[in-house]
Amino acid sequence: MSVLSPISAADSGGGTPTFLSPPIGCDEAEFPILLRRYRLGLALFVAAIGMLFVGFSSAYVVRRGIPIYDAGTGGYSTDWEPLRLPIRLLLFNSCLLICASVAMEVVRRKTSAFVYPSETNGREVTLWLSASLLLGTAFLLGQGIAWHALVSSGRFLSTGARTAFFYVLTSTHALHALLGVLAVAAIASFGARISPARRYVAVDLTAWYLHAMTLLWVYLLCFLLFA
Amino acid sequence: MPSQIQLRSSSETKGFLRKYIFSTNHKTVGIQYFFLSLFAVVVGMALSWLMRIHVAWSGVRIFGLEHLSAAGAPGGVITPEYYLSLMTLHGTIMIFFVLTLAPQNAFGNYFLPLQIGAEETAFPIVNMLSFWTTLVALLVLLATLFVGDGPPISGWTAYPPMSAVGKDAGPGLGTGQNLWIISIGIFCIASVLSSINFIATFMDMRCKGMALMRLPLTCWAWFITAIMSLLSFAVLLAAVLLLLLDRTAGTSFFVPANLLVSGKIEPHSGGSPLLWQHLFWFFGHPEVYITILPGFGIVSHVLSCFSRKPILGYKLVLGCMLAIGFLSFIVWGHHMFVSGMSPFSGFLFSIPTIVISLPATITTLLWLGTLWGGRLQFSTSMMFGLGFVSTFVAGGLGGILLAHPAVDSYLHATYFVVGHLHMVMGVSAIFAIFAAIYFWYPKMFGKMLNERLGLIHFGLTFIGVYCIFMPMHLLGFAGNPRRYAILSDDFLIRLIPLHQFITVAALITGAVQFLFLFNLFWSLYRGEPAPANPWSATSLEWETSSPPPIGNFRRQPIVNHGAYEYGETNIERDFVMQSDPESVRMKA
Ligand code: HEM
Ligand SMILES: [Cu+2]
Repeated sequence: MSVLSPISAADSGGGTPTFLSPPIGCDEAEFPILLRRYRLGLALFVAAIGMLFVGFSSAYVVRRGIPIYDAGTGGYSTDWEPLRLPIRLLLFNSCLLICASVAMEVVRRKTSAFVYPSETNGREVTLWLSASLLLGTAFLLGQGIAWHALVSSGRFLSTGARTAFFYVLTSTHALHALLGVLAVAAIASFGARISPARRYVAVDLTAWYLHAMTLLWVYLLCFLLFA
Repeated sequence: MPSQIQLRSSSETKGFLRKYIFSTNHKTVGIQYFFLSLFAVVVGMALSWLMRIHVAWSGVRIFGLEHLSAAGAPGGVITPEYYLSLMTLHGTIMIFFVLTLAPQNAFGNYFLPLQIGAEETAFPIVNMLSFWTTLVALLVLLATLFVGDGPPISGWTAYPPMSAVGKDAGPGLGTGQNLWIISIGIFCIASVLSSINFIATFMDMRCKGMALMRLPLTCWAWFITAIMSLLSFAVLLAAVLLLLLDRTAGTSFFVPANLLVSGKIEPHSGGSPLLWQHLFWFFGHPEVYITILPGFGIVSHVLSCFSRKPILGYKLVLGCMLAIGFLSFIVWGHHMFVSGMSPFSGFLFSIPTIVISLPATITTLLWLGTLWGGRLQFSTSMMFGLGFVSTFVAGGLGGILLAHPAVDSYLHATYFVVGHLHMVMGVSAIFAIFAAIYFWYPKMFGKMLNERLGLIHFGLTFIGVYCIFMPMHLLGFAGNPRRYAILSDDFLIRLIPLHQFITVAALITGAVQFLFLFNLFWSLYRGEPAPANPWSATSLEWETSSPPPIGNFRRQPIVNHGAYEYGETNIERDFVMQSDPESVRMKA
């Protein structure tokens, strides 16, 4: 029977060590498996976040196109208000986030899964890590300033749908970016105490997550500016 | 070789709290989900009795109900508004906390790792978190019964403007609706977390030799369902967040301009209730298949085992499930044919809706083909599997009628839809859950269920559900609108006897479920001890003891065979276990 044909190792599932694997990478031998598994988990998480924003974006597009019927004139109008954004601030914030992401990428590349950073390039890594943390925090603060600017010019959630969408999209993004910044902070504070393999997994995931949030932000900014 | 046996024993030394309550063990989490759903289904069923009694005998006093809500049921007589509150709660509990959780999160958590030969899921802590998050969601939802003026009256679909404008629009639309939204939001997060765990487990934890085409169809079904949950619940989360803002922050996403509610003009302007419907049903239609696809897997598994025959067309069943998963994302508009959407869009949504019944039909035929010429064993699990096929066809045919905009414009919002959705989702998915319970209970609890009691339970339930839900189709033809608390129009009064028949059938069928509950708990203590493989089944969970030890397997399994090798073999049994050595094989 064809179902009985022997299969090659490549056919088989995710590799053998699952059976004996301890909770999270303590062992160098299991490191590649764990890294792959956690990256997969992260990718799925990011996909879900993506769908959240697909939901918001489609709502935006639909809401933008809805006409309001005016019984007086029998015509249609729109309540899609013009929205003047603090563009220069937002662009500056984007640079901050991109730089935070780049700094984290440097950390990722300079981190080894097999030796403690203190034994090699510890200082350098710490420097880049702090840079990423600072830049990420600065981005969040910058977003706060942008909201403040909008609020002080009298534009609130209830001002109109477009303004509301601006707040919803940026704050939901900020919340997710905050997760990334917190992860960087966690690595900066506890990273020295865990095994190199574990530390590498943490650094790698955080870096990819920050990249994803950066990409999402670039998309959102283009969307808000041009859609 | 004992040196290979190196089970992780850490969880054995954990305290009670870590072992039974905040456990990360996939079997414990599965059982927690199971009992959560069991609790939810009892509540949901009780609510349905209250509604049925009220529809059939609208003035009747239900003893003691005034203690649940003095305003909602003064003197024990349900008000029309409270009827709608109960209905919302019933629908939400059943769809989210029963049909979404039991087939996927309860059985999937318990059996996916076992069936793929893994000792755990990929992210046990995430798994635990998603259970506790779900529990919080359920508690928040149930809280609506006790705060403010009761649960919202806007139904499980929470259509705005009703759900968006606050308490002026009716009872439960203040605090109740807020809690509903929060509960669903929490549920979305839990679902996303849990589906991440499912997908990663499926993709990354298969044991040696478990090639994709050797996986039991249950595993495939859980995998596809998890992908659908991941993609659709995130969109629902977006929708409920916007709805919450409309209610609390004065935004206008879903509420149109100049809306007059209870004599007051709403301050909102320019929003669109249709926007909500699009977002909701973009989630909602995948959701109905999220409830049924694990059932496809379970039923394929059970039918093959009790026919002692390989499942007919393994790859075709799999292909159909994939097709259903994909198509379910592009048919949502069939819930909106009469919503004011452009008729051209209606046509556009009608086509894939009709197309989606093709893979469903093919799968059904393959199930029948699996039975054909098999040596059928009519265990309770098998009977529920067969019952699933029957009710799925009965309900699905109704769906094909509804798929035509012209037909739907008459049948929409009538009891026909209620009959359709309960037949195909309520009953079929529940039958799949029952098939799973009767099949896997021995493995989960180490005891056999009483088969005779099980068969009686099946027989009465099967007759009961047809008595309840088939007449609803007729009510729909007669034009009986759904969500009506009191039938007072001329043409409706004449339908009341049929409603009374349905109510009686519902009460009896409900009572029969206590047979099942009795069986469930009685067997826990008095049932015969279960052997490792009571059904002579092939998949890996039957290789280990009942219940499986911590770490699932005493030796790491290696898979040499497909999941459905039933029939004559070169040894003394009529099946080949997946982990049997290669020398064991089916006779050609
Ligand atoms: C044979 C394939 C199916 C077709 C063509 C179909 C078609 C439809 C259509 C057109 C409607 C909208 C009716 C209306 O509101 O006027 C509908 C409603 C519904 N269907 Fe199906 N359906 C099918 C299978 C299923 C399955 C498998 C499930 C669940 C497991 C399901 C669950 C529901 C539910 C829950 C509703 C009503 C939702 C509500 O308004 O509360 N359907 N179906
Ligand atoms: Cu649908």
